[in-house]
Amino acid sequence: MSRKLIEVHDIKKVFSGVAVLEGIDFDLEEGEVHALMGENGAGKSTLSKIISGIYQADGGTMLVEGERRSFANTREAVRHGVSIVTQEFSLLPDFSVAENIFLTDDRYYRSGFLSDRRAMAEKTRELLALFGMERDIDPYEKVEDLSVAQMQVIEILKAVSTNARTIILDEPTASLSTKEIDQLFEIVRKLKKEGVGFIIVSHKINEIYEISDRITVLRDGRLILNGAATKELKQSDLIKAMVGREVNNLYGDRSDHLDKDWSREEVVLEVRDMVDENRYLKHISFQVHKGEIVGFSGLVGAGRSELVRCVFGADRRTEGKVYLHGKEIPADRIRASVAERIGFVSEDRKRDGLLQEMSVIKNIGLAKLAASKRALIDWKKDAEDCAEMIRRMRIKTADVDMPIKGLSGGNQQKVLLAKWILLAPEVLIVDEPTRGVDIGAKADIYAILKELAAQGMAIVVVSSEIPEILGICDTIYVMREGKVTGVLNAAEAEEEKIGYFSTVG
Amino acid sequence: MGEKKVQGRSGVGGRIVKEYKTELAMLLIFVVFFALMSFASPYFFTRQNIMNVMSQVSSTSMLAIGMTIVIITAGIDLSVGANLGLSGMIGCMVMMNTQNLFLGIAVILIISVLVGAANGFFVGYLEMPAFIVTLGMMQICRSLDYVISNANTASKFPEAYSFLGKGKIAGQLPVYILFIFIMFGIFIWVMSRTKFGRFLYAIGSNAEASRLSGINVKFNTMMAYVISGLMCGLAAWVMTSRLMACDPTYGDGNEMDAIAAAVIGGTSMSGGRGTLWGTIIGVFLVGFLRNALNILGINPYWQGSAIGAVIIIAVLAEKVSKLKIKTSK
Repeated sequence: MSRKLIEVHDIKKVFSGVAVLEGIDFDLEEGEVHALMGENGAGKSTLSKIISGIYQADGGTMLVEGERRSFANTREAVRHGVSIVTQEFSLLPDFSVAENIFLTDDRYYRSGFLSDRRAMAEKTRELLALFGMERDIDPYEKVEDLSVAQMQVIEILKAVSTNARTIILDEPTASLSTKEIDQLFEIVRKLKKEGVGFIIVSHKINEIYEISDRITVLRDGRLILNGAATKELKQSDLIKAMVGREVNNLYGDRSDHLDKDWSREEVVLEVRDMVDENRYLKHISFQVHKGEIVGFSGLVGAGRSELVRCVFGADRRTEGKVYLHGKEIPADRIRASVAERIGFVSEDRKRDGLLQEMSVIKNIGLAKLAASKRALIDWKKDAEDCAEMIRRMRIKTADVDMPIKGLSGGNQQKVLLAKWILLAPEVLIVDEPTRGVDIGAKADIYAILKELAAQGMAIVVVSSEIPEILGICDTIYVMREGKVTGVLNAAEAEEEKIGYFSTVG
Repeated sequence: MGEKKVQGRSGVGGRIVKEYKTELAMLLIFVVFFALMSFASPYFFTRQNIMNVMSQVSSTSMLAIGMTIVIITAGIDLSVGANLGLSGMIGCMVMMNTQNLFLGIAVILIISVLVGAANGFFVGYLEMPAFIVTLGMMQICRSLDYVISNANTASKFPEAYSFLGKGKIAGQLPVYILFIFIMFGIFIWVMSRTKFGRFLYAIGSNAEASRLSGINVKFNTMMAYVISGLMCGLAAWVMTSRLMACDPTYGDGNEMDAIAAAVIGGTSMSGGRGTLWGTIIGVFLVGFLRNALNILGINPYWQGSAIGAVIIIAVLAEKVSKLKIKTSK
């Protein structure tokens, strides 16, 4: 039995009178990966923030390497070997890689404030070499020029540089490609061998089975499953523990669509020879038929988001035409697309989807208002529309007049979908429909997309999750380096084929 | 865990309390302050004194309308004071030389709108930072103000020009006070009931999300600055008609009062939040605070400290209430 790095007992956390965590026990051993799972709002992030000193517990005890501790802030936690890599990176984009890693490390400041750039760079190179990445990343490179995956690595190196024994990764793979995830896990495994313990907060089940040794599940702030060995835990039991009910088929039934001949259906959206502003896309053409869900799969950087953004008019194109029911839609004009009832849910809801400070009702009504010809706001109709959408999309919200930022990720995503569905679009383009969304809301979103398709809407889905693409799409385009490398229909599509087309095909 | 509760909508009363939390808090402070002052000085709560304060805040309140609207789009307009000065000066000189009342007023409004449109073009269409653009515009306007007037005061306007500034309805209510309240009424309506108003909030909250929802971000942003410019012209009209003269120093530093009024009234400098109701309270809180200090015979050098403290406390209060929302997630 190896040594325990972290042991928490009976942890309680209260936010404005509501207990968001109660009676939580959790422990982490040397050299293990312990997954912390649960739906959004289950309390897993809160627990990881308490362990790492971002939040302070309102009850319970914590032992760090056998000593009783409670951290007042992250600096104190880092001093005792506990580091967290949050979803929102704490890197300074204008600073170099080396400066970021050693920003708060006194050893690299001469006489207290002059930084020793060369020593920093040297040490950074050493750290990078540990993980075989010395050729990919230059210590003097600015962090803003790195990819998301590389930033993640830098965050982990930062933790390693402080001799962290416990590293908490909050949703580490949210925006990584399959290859980058493999690289990340390689690093995790290497550090594991040296005795570093990892707490990984995630709701991606496949990955957790791949990387973790034990799994703890929280639901509604309570402990549901306490450190079960991953090997002995059945996937169905895990899902049940997370959701509190059985989700038999996340993607619903699709047998009737499997061998449908879409070419007989009416073409709703046609894209011809699309080339983006940077000429990364190589003349891409595709069609979406009435009632069809077309999926775009591929690795991050394959050009999927660029393609759909150009189709919608969010980004400029150098070539290419878009036709809706045979009628050409003017290029580069979002308003023209919206007027013709093409909807677009962007990839990153926080950055370019939500009006954070504004209420649920105002967020839902925005696209419809923008498309309408009226100059005045119809409060009554807005409220009716909103109520209908909340019912139809099963959006859980305490109060539609409260800012949308108070909603969980899944409900925020539903609001963004509702915003466009309210317009009754002919075409709905959804870039990553379920990123950062818990399983319950995922099933809801899939059901909604299928229902809309059944009603005749043409839907385009971009997704990095292959099971998702396989689960809901009728036709699948696989992209690689700005080209379509394969087109599969639902009956013939398999994970291996998609993988083949997205890497070598 | 709020989302686990029953979904729904609270009653109208509850909604007002929630949506106008900052404004109501400031109103409460204002009422308490007003009541205390009324006890402290018999002169404070008199018609004479209230009219006095109204005249002091008249131009600031107009500028604060435009400022609030611009700040809601996550921008700022530092040129309002100088725009007031320039548009007032050009219009008044035209009026002085032609003795044509309507031409003079038209010139004031046209110049002020042009300055606003220039700001709006640079900020909206060229996506330049509002702070820098309007800082530059402020310098240009003030400098042109002096160049054109040669630092002289314009006066000798047609007698009828004094109607807005000196006229009284039924011999009681000054016209310009009514005018200010009508302006507040119009823009409260614009900001809360029209699509344009909703778009400005949306742009301030998240410009890219607004663009992707089909809102013309560039044009609507520009229009916010055009409105701010127009309010400068109206303020210049009120001011010069009240004083029946135009000095090149008019409006100097008024941009800071306007920003203060908006911020005290709960408008967030990061955009997307705030109302003109709050701004009204902000304008009067500052106006009456200054007035109270005068009445109480406190050394006028203290006024800046008092108003500065109110600004910081107002922002602090908002910060604290925000923290609460954040941690309650």
